[in-house]
Amino acid sequence: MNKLLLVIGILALVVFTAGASLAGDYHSGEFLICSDCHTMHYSRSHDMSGATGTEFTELGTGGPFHYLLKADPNDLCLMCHDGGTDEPDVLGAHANGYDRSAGALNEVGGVDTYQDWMGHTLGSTATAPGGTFANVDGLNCLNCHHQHGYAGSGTTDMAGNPVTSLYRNLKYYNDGTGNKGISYTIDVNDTPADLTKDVRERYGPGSTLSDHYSQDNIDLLEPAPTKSGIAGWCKNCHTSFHGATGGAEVGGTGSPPEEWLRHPQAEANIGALGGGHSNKGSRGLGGKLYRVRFMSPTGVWGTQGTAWGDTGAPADLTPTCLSCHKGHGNGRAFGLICATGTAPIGEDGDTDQAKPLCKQCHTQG
Amino acid sequence: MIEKLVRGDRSRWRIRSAVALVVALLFVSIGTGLLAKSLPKIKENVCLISYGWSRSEKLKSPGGVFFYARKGEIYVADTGNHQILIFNEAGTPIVRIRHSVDGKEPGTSRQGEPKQVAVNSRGDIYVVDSLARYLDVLDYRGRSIERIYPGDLLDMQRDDVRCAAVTVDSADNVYIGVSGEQSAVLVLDRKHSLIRRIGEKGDGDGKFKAITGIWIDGAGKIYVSDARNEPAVQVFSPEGKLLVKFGVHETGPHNFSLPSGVVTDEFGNIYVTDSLRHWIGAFTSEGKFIIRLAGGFGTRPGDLSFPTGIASDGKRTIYTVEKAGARLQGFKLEITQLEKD
Repeated sequence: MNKLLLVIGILALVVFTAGASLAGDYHSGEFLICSDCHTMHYSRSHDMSGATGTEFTELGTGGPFHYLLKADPNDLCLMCHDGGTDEPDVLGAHANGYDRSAGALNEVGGVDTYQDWMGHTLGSTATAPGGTFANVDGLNCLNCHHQHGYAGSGTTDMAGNPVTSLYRNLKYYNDGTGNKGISYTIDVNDTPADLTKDVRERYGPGSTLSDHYSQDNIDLLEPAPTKSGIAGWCKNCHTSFHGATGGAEVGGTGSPPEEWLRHPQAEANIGALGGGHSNKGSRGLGGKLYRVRFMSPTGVWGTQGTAWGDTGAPADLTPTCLSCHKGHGNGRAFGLICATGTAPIGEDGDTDQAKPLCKQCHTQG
Repeated sequence: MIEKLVRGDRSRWRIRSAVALVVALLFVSIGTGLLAKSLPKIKENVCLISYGWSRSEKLKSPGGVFFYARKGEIYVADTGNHQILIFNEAGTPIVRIRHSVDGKEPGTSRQGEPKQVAVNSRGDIYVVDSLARYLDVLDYRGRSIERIYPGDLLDMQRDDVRCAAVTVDSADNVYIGVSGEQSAVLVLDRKHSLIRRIGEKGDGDGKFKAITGIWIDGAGKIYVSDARNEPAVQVFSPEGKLLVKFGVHETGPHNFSLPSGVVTDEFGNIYVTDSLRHWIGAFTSEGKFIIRLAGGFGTRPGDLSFPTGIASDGKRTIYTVEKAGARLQGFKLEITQLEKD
């Protein structure tokens, strides 16, 4: 009897562990099957039943490819994720109606108006600005995403909380203190946010693509007041663009810290520092009808279309990388979100000028 | 004595068993032979390869292809180059039509991403564009003369549904595959009035999730390929009654990964492109797998690299375009059909 219980216990453990390993919302048994993307020996002489009717002894002259893939990873991903209306469309112009939270990737040589200096460039062998990362085979989707989904086990976010599922299944990284990842929470119909996560996804009824991927439904939270999971993740490649205040990368020395070498992305709240720094009052962020996204420890960063006015913006809003840049890129240089604050913010912002973006928070100039 | 009897019984049993086995094998082989004979033999020969408008302007991520029987022309939705290309039967490009759609700001336009195309007997061109919520109707010169919103036809918000596929039958009826919040095949008469709706969004028989291709055969039967629904391929009567269904998302040559289009030949055999398996599957009119035509990932003639669309002359020639391969290929079919459907 005891042995039976032991066996049942082990089986239960195996089953639950297997279930946990499938966490994540990418390609985890939802629709695709392994052989959609992989081939064991880059050959196909018969199917699983041995049935005849197949004439191929090899899959073709184009491969074989790394990771037993049937084809170049970008081509595989883009078969569904470019121009498709039933999956997120990530390359160039958008086939769906909403403004993408991550914006648009481009390719070497550009994709129409999405040039290869406007964000992340598939196929690029260039070294990441501010870092040393480069893919000699060309940048591909798998450099950033766990295409199979990843439970995040053993991974913590910047606040030190265990990560149980990674936002967009962005790859985890090791910052020298352990495996780090970006955590997220899904709030169904705007139920109260789990403020211990890095990102909040507002999930509406019907589960449309827009619910998951529209910039209107993605908020940046701030579980650790002096850290940013987003910035930490970007640092993985763009190394010296991020660091702690006072550090060699970004500076910010003095009291109050003003002498920045690079723009802070984690610690400096808007309007918190004097000396001509950012302004959260009505002349600065508080007067903007429409705002780019900021990290908020409370999940509250105002309502688009309504200015804070004389009361000013909350004092706990913090800019991070995705405040000014689209993760994938967009139709502006460096993937900048050029927003004047006077009109709804599309993927590119609402202007082709960068200055208004600075003036979301700053009043100089 | 007893031992001899036993040995004798065993011997007779062995003989009987052997005879039974031979008879069974005979039946199986006859049955298999009959089965094999009941399947047509099909072989393809590459008859056309085209890489685009010119050496300097090759096809870029083409999404769809249509054979215009009246003139023997092949229309290709050259998605990445924002245009429709027209080839003659030899594969020489003869006309290109730039396609644009509404811009984000009222009164502006931007380059389109046409992904499917069809042509009626008057030469009017129907274009499905990924960036538009409407079916664009162009005259033979490429000027937009009408827009058909599936949202209007379904009494829904225009932004909630979009065109996913289009084809035209010999009577100039237009068939629109709709995707989005609702999914269906809408049948319009030549004046673009809705005359029938087939199916709805959902799983299973008679339903659709992500329509990728529509084809109408000479008898008016409607063939629909769907990237997500199971069955992956469904055949309907002209009145919309489900007649044949086959294919699920699984391993095996009779199944699919990402079916991207469907056509038939003059015998009623069915051909389905699979974007992720890089081949064309041939099936009987009942949906029984016959053979894989063309394909194998690569760039040689006959290889395929992410085929996204398929067209047919309705007889013995089929055409396909490849998204990553960036080619138009044509295949002449050698068909040994025992009896014509």
